[in-house]
Amino acid sequence: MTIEKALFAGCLVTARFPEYELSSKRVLEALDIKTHTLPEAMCCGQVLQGTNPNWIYMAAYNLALAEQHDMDLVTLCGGCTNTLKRVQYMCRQNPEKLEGINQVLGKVGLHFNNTVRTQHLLEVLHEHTNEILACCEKVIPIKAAVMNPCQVFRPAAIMQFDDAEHPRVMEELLGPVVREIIPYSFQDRCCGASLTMSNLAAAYKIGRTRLEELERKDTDVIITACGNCQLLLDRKQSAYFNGRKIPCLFLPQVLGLAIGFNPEELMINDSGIRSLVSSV
Amino acid sequence: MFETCLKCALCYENCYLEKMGIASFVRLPLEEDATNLWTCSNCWTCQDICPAELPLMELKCKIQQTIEPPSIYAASLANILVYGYCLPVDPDDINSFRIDDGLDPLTLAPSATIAALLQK
Repeated sequence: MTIEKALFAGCLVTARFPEYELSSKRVLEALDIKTHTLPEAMCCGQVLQGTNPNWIYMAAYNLALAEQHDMDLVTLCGGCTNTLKRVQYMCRQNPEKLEGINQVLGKVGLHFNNTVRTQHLLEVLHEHTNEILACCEKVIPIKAAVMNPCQVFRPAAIMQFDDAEHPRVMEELLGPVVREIIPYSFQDRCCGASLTMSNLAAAYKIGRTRLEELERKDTDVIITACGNCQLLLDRKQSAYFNGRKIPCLFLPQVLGLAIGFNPEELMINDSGIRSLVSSV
Repeated sequence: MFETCLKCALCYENCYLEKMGIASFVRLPLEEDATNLWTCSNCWTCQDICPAELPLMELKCKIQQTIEPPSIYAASLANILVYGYCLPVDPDDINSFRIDDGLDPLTLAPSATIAALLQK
């Protein structure tokens, strides 16, 4: 039976990374999960947390919108996941908070019951690991390093997914479908992308440290599961790293290749990656 | 705000920015004159490891809300008030591509809705 879910792409993916949204949609369809874009969704609110206490109403608005459409949410970025799940946790812990939220949402014709389930793409795929791997017919000939989206796992008491110190989910999903997973020093540590807004030099230092090690380890591809990781490690790579270009792919793009989609169907445009996977 | 802080410095020792020589906001509970309030990668490690269970990330945001933010945050808010998203996204520009690619068209939240949610 087909399950219907709302795919919450958030700001970065909607504006910059349609390939992540599209490849997620295709891979979820292989699991008989049909996804929809929520009409009139907006930013999860995370970017305003340090400047505007009303960010919480943006998160609750999106959650209430999903409830109105009677669909659970699948998120794609760590920050959106973290923000939405924390607001749900706050409302469970504090009914007065939920009441206050609903007073504001009432002004825009919405009500939040806190019954929607929010999961990052990794959580959905983790629940279906065997089914997704059964769909994979190919091993992609790449030496890959994973970039764990830290905010999907922390704060651990609220996120309640995998081991926050040493997440395994990406390697469990990718290990059987790529030639090699390359372990490296900072693979369990944040990518640093949030710092591009407040301390660019620090963000670039973290990115450069990671890429220098991955270049030494002859990495073909970095695999991400968050728009922010992709932004720093791929789109901004040439701004801080002078070594060999190491391209990034989103996790569902790699799974999609293994399932049998062609690079065009997954919006894989990087010529280096195309030549690597063309022999599959 | 940090009255129950044990001054154990576990947050500082486990902040990977500090491990890389980048002065971060976790110095705040330890140094009264700390000035690195916006240098944080939002990884939540400090809060997860705090034995006093201080909500360090929430405290950071509360303090940030009382001071002038880096200018990029004002730009993000300006975009949110127009598009609902912190980056410009115009359905007229992207929906033909989205539909061709098999994605649903994007519809923006009404600006009155966005304003009602963010109104102080």
